[in-house]
Amino acid sequence: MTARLPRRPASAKATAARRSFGEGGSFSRGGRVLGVLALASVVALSGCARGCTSSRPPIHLNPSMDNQPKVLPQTASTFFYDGASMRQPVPGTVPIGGLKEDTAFFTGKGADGQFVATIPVTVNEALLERGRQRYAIYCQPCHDARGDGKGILFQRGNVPTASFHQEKIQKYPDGQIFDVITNGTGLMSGYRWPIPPADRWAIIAYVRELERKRLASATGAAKAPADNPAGTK
Amino acid sequence: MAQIFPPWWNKLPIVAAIAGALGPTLAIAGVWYYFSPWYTDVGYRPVQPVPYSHKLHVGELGLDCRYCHASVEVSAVANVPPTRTCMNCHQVVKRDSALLAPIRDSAASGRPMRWIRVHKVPDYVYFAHNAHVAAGIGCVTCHGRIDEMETVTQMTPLSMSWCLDCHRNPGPYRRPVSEVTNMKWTPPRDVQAAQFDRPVNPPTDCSGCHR
Repeated sequence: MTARLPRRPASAKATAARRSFGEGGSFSRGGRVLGVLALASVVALSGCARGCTSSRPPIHLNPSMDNQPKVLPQTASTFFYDGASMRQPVPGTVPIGGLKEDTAFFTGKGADGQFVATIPVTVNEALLERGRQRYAIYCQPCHDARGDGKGILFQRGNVPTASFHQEKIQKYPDGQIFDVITNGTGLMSGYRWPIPPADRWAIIAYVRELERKRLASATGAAKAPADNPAGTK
Repeated sequence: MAQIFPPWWNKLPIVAAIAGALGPTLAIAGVWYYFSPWYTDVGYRPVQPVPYSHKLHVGELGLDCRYCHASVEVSAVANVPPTRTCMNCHQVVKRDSALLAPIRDSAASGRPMRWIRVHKVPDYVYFAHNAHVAAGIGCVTCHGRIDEMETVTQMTPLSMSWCLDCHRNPGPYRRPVSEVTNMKWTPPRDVQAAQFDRPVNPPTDCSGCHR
């Protein structure tokens, strides 16, 4: 029984096996079995274990129509000129149910082109709650939870951010705030895309509620500091 | 004349027996381990054109998931935000950063950013984000602790058996709808998770997801 394996540069494990199991280039049978097992385990472990990270896309051993040549949302297209598979509506067309006749609701402006003074929907608890949620998502990052304009941009970039508790904004008609949310103003971008019109009105209702509470607590504290200021609502 | 069967052939039966037992065992173990989506898909972490950090924006700055992924509640697709959303802040913050150059180019030209998709179910699966969010399945349940990820990594296999684990027994995976985007929510000890909101009855038949 002499080694029939050709002598060639072996892996570190095989070299170690040779050292322990036989000198002069001869393997014992046990040494060979162990060597094969060691090689197999090296192959298994040098690959990646479950859950280790890789920037290469997953390989599905059975492709099984996992990736079909169909258009999915937000994918690239080699067909359309702008490279996007999602299309814009044709200019001048209106989708079914998409006609925006109620100008006060959709633009914040009445038929006369002036901003509407009050919210054109019923303000109730449900609307305020919806407004509070939406405010926390879209407004709070910059205007902060209390509406003082001390949010991320102010803290990190010292960017002047409007406070809702200044007289100018308190006197805005509700429709003007709607217009600001829709189209933006100054450094603020328009939030037409992420906030649908009904939610914009809900946010305005919540902002008005914030202002009312601040005013009430200010006047309440000034009038009667001892008279339960926390209870002013 | 030499023997046709030399003496070492005597060992053939035992070698064959060992190989016959070991071979299929190793093959089954290998398929079980390496063919599973826990191996092939979990851990996918593509390099994005801009190294956007969820850890910074969500974990430290506290942005809600829906600030960018706004359509998640109303659409099957949780959208990747348009470049304009980045520019809401980055027109004033870090406006000279070289890393943000592709964002500025995209905003100026109107050509979309080519983000690389991380989480993807097969194209014959019709997953709807809005239905799952409305049923009180948190973002973290499928996507992991995004708020701790510098680079988004797939944490769950998104495989059929994994989906069915929850569809057959959704109770432990549910939370109040108001806490869906909360990455740190833990169920209160005294309340059963299934009691939070309306009962749900997720489909377990084929056409529930494959249509």
